[in-house]
Amino acid sequence: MISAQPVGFDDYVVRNQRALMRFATVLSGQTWLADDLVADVLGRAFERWDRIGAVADPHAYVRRMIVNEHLSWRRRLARTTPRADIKMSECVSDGAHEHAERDAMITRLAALPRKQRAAVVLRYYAGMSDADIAAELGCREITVRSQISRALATLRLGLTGDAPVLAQESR
Amino acid sequence: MTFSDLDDAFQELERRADAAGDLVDRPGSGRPRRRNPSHPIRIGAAAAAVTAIAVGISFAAFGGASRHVGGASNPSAPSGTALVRDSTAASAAEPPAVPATDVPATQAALIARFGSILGESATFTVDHANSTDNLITGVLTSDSGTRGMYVLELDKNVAVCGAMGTVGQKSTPLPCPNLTTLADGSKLEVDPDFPDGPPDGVMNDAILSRPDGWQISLYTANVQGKYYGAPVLGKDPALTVKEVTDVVTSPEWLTK
Repeated sequence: MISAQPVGFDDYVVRNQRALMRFATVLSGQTWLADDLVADVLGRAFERWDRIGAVADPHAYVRRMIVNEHLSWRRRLARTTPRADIKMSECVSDGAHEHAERDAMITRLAALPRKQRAAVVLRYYAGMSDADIAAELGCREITVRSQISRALATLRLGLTGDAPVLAQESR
Repeated sequence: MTFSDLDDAFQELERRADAAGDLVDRPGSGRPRRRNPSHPIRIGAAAAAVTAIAVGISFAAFGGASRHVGGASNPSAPSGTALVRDSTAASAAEPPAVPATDVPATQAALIARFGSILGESATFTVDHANSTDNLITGVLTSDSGTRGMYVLELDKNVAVCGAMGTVGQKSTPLPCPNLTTLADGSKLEVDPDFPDGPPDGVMNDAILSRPDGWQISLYTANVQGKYYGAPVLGKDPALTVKEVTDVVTSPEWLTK
C-alpha cells in the first residue's frame, strides 16, 4: 500500500527515534545493543527511504526491520563468537524492595529465547494481536500463542494473574 | 510475579533507553550518530555512523570506473587464488581500485539477483512474511533434490569477525580462524557454527565483507525454517560451503 504523502526520512527520525530506541531496548534488553540495532536499521532504511517512506505505515516497516535484525542469524553468530571488551550489562538492583521484582523480571526477560522474547514484547509492549505477531515473526498464530505461553511460564506470570497492561511504545 | 511487574520492567527499560539518549539526529547526515564513547560497538564500523552514506556515494561514483582484478577471473575460490594481504605492505601500496557493490534496491531485485547467480544449480522459495528488501529467506532445493532453508542478507558496515572492542580503547584481536582476505580486500568468513540449531542441524554459510562496507551473507541449513525448532529436512543443506561461497563472491554483486 502506498501512502498519499510520503514521509521524509528526517521527519520520520525526529518523530520516531525515541520510540524506536525504546522498542529496541525492550526487545533486546540492552541499551547499547538497541543503539546498534536502531542505528543499523535507520542507516539501511535511509538508503531505501524513497520506497519505505511511501508505504502506508513506515514505522511498522522500520519496526519490523528492527525485529528482523534482532532475530537475524548474523547477530546470533556475533553473539556466539567470543568478544573482548563486550560485557552484557547486568540488571543490578538499586536495593529498594519495590524494585526487586522489576529487576528480577528484566533478568528473566533477558534470559528468554529470542523469539519468545520478541513475541512477548510485540504482544504486551507493542500491543499487537497474535495474527499480527505471527505475520511479523513469520510463523503461525498457534506458534505465537505457544511461544508466549512458554515465555510467561518462564517469567513466572500465570495466565490467571493480573490483567496485562498493554504498554504502548509511543508513550 | 504479576503482569504489572512486566509493565514495570518495560517502563524501566524505556527509562534506560531514554537515559542512554545517545542517538542524535545530525541534520543532513541522514542517520543518527553515537555520542556515548563508552558503549561497545564494532571497531570496524566505528566511523560508519557518520561516513556510511558518504562512503557509499564515493564508491558508487568511482567504483564503476574499473573492474575487479583478483577475484573476477575466479571469484569462487576463497583461498587458493586469494591473496592474504599483508597489512603493512598494503598500507604503503596504492590501494587497488575495487568496484562497488551493486546492491539490489528492492526485495524483487534481490530475489532476481539470487536466482540469476544460482542459475540451474538450485531453485528456491521466498518466505515474504519474513523477508525485507535486504534479507530474503525460504527453502532452497538443489538440482539433486536436497532441500533446506536459506537466509540471504545484504547489510552495510556491520562487524567483521575478529574486529570488535570498545570505542576509545585498544581493540583486542580475536581468533578468527575461518577469515580469509581476498585479493580485492574483501574478507570472507566461513563459520560452521549453527547457533540455536537443532542437534542434527548442519549449516553452510559464507559472509563476505566488501571494501565498500557492504556485507553479503548466505546461510543455508538442513532445516525447514529460520528459527530453532524447525524440522530437519535432510542430512545436509542444499548448498555446499563451496557453492555458498560462490554465491557471495559472485561478480554479479559488483557494479559493471
